[in-house]
Amino acid sequence: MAELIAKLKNGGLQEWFNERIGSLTYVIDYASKKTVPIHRQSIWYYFGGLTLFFFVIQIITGLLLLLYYKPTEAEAFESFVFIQKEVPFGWLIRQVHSWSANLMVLMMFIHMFSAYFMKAYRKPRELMWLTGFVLCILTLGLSFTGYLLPWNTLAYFAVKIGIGTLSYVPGGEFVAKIVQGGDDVTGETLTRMFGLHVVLLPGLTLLVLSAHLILMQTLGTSVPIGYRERGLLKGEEPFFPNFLMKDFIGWMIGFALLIFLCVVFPWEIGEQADPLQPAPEGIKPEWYFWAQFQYLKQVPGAVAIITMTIAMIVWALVPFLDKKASQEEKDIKFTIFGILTLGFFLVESFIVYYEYHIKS
Amino acid sequence: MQIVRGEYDRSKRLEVIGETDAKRREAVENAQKAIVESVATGGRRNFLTYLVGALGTLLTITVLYPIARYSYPPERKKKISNSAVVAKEGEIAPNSGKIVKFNDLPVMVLNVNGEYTAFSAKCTHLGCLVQYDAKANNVWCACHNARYNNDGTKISGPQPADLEKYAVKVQGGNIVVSKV
Repeated sequence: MAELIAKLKNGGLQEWFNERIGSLTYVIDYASKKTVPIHRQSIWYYFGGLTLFFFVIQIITGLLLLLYYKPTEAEAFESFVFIQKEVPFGWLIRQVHSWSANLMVLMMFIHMFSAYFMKAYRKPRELMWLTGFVLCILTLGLSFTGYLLPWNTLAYFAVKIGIGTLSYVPGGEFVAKIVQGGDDVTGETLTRMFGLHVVLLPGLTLLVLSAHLILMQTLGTSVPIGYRERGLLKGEEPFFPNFLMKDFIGWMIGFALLIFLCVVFPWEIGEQADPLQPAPEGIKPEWYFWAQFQYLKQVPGAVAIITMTIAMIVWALVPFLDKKASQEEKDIKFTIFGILTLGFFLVESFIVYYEYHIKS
Repeated sequence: MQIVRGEYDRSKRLEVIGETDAKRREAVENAQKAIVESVATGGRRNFLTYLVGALGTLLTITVLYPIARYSYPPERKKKISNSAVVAKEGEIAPNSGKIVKFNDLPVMVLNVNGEYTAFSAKCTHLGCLVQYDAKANNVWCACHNARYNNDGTKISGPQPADLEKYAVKVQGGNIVVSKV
């Protein structure tokens, strides 16, 4: 026994694993020497980690909510109120789940736009961009499916509108029928959304997230175009442990913000959804769908869906369209496209905010 | 043995991989090469490859078909009636509307100064349920500001079409909705 302990102390455990995991040893060794560049735009490197942090919180609180939540038309709202009002700390878990979802989406958008403007998608990181794009869609899918689960009026109509947009897409009626489990948003829809929200979408997210993170570990962090040449790079610091520790500080700030929001601005409980009540006045989706919501008011549905689909395809394929960036040259066209996209989101969202919160 | 950062050259990377790994890799590569070569030269091996491919496709289809059919919701048996009693007279106050179920669809019954109209309550834009706006004396959808006349015809907003109309009459104290 003493011999074994002595052996373990001399790095024997590491050796034991090395012999059994083969070339994986070198991968780990390789990744452990990852560095993070230091320059004046380094702040943006924290937002991917923050998105991941809030995703982990979503998994933990999601599992906890599953202990009491019942995904049927008859029991959903009741069990949701039970969690909020009866279960010890139930209000906290539900509030954290709702707020953390919002913060996760926000961090993801900051992460995506900063990667876009720093042109971090350029060669050799095209696959990181693509997996990131898929993660963006999955995150929005998780938000959308989760939104129905409280089964209150707000949730009911938000989902109705969301699925309604499908009627403008070719083959959309077919997809809508599968998602709804019928011709309308009913208890069938709730059960289906629940399955998507707790099994399929998180599973897919974990898979794609693993690919995203493995690519991150092997390719390292991107440096903005020209920074190296112009001497703007102040050096590099090891990821383990230096940057990870700083990341941790970011997570703690994020956690503090999360708890602050939960306690000071709790989400409402609302009224149980009633399929025979008109849509309530002032109904609007969550903030991350505001721009699309406003756009759907301004132009005919088909036009809105077609233009948004084209913009999304361009967005996803930008590493392959922006050929100059792959040669370490800036292409102003793509910066302008990015500014227009961001501008569209900000202006349209502001109009919704103005009309629903300031004017009324 | 250590991998240098930024070293992506496969041949150089292979150098650092241990002897056992190299042997194992060689065996795998040889086996794969053998298959590629035998397929290229054709013959019995080639036939078997196609057979396996065809059976694999067949198996995939046999598995996917029931899954696809299962996911698509089956039609529920519902009674389709030409007309039905949906409410009692007096249940819908003057200058208000009520959404009722008719053939499992939400139907808005309006009572404007004692005159009844009925039409689908589902906004043709994105499917929200509409309401009677007493102030403007027309029908309004709160989701995207669509407006309809009191008989369901479109006035303004992003919606593509009118609301489907139904006939409505008062019969012995009951409000009866029927297909047009």
